[in-house]
Amino acid sequence: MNKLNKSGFAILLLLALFACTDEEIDDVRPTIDLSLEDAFPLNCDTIYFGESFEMRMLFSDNRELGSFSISVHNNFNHHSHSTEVTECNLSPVKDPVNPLNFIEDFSIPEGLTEYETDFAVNFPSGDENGNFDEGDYHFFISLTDKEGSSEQKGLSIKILHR
Amino acid sequence: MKLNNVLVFGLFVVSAFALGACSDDNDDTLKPVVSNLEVGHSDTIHIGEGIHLEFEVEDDNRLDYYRITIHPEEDHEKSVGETLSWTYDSTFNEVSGLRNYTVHQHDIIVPETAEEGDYHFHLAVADQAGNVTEIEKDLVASHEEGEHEHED
Repeated sequence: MNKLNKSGFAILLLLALFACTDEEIDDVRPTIDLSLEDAFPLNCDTIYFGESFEMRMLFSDNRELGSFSISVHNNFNHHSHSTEVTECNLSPVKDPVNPLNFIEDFSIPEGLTEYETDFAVNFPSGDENGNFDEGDYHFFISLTDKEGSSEQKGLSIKILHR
Repeated sequence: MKLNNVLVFGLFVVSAFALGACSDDNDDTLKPVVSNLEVGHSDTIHIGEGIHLEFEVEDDNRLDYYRITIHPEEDHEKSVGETLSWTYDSTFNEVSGLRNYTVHQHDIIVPETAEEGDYHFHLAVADQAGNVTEIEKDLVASHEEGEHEHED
């Protein structure tokens, strides 16, 4: 009976432990890797309005990736950007007239710890107000894992007409 | 009978312990942590332009929203003539459900009608448990356009 008593305790303890480890938080952030051989875009790259380009980067997470978004906004006034690595040759400062504002959310297939993006993106040449302004833009990527940890990367690019 | 009592008591103690240990996790009283806050160009915002806003935020659980409030300093000496005293108040949800995020935006446009002078900037970041971190900054609104050529 004494033995039964002890094993009862042991089981309860184990149960208690498990009940709590389920709550364990995964706070490891996902990573945006731009070191692929054909990674694109990279800092200081040029993209052309109306022409598709392949976005190539590697996303990874220790457990499971969630989703990502791309946003593009003008950098005509050369504001700083702390997630950036290097400065590029910026065009002269100017005021935006009809700048491109691009925001799009993308899902990542369930259950992946690594995901290589490989799809075409196309920035339209203009809208009902005419052609978009060409010049310096920020290409901002935000990657989130299933647990809600996230990583952001900002790239300086030029978007031009040709 | 005695053995049974011990068993029941033991069960009670262990489950109380287990419950206590776990409920601690749900009792989130830690506020979000904000770092590297940048507002405008060295705390100067330019009239007619979008405000450069950047900061990092991290929470032990899930974030909910951040709120930006900007208003003129109360003892503003300049009278409000043809220009309007500008106030701004908006809540943003892009951090909702995340544990950490680097905010980078310049969607807050200082209207051309805003008065030059001293403003207060308030940032409040809330997590889903309702803990709020608040940060305040003094800003100067000006027509000087930094790197820009003077326009008027």
